[in-house]
Amino acid sequence: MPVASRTADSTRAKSDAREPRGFWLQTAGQRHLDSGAYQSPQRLSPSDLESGDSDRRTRLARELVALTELQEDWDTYGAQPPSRSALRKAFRHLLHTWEVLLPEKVLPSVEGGVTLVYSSNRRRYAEIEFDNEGDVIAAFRRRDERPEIWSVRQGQAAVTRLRRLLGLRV
Amino acid sequence: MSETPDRLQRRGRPADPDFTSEERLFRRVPRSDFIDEDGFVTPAGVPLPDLSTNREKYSEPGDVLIGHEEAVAVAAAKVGDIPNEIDEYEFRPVHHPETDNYAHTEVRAFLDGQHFKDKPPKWVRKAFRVTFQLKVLPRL
Repeated sequence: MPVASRTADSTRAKSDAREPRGFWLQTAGQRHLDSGAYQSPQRLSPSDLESGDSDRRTRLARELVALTELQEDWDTYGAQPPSRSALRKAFRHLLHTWEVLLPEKVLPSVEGGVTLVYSSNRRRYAEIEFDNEGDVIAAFRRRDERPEIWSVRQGQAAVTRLRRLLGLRV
Repeated sequence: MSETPDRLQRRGRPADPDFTSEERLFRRVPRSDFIDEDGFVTPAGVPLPDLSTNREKYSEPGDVLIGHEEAVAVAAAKVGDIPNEIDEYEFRPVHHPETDNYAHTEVRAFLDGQHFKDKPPKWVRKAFRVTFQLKVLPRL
């Protein structure tokens, strides 16, 4: 089995420690929720990722908001729900980067946190995880190759790198 | 609550340390959005270390759903598909029977041959999670 590679982005992340509770519900997410345009999750192609589709943004915002309802042991194996801090960070990342690269879906992590999945098939997998301990880690794996793992310090740089890895125009 | 089948009762049986590379490990899938378009469990649904599973030698796939009928699917991976080494950490299954689940098995991390009870570095865990692939089984 391959050994992963590890790198780090160069720019320091901005802290959201002073962000008021519920901030991420009150901004664009709430606007999308109020629009009533929610659609069921659907599969996306790379070309879809390049277009700015408000319906998909609405769905992603809804998926993220739905994670606030998770309770301890939501996976039946004892997983913790995403923390408020992880949810806020993920939402801010979404708002700041979805013009660059739109995730396929938003998932809770069984390790505690929020995962934005940008590509999820056997050929290529790409994600950014916001964990409950405050760390943000990106991962990319091409089938049968060793994964690339790096600590995310600046969201725009991370999604730009994922776009490049996914073979999308940068 | 479903009744525990006799095959899962421990009844004093010792742990069985022997696994073949073809033996499958089963794990329930809690959410439909954890299943990717190719039928594999997304890494967000794979914890490490001490990934809890049931081993095939002593159970049937559906046994992981007992008491957890709300789960959406059962997924499986062969022992031989476990990433056996990432950086200085090794990973392998350990039969860890429970009173009502003799098949219970954990995929654990080892360092210098010893069970590493703390969590390995995040990048190692992440590398394991995006590499280890649990395939969703057809509905029983």
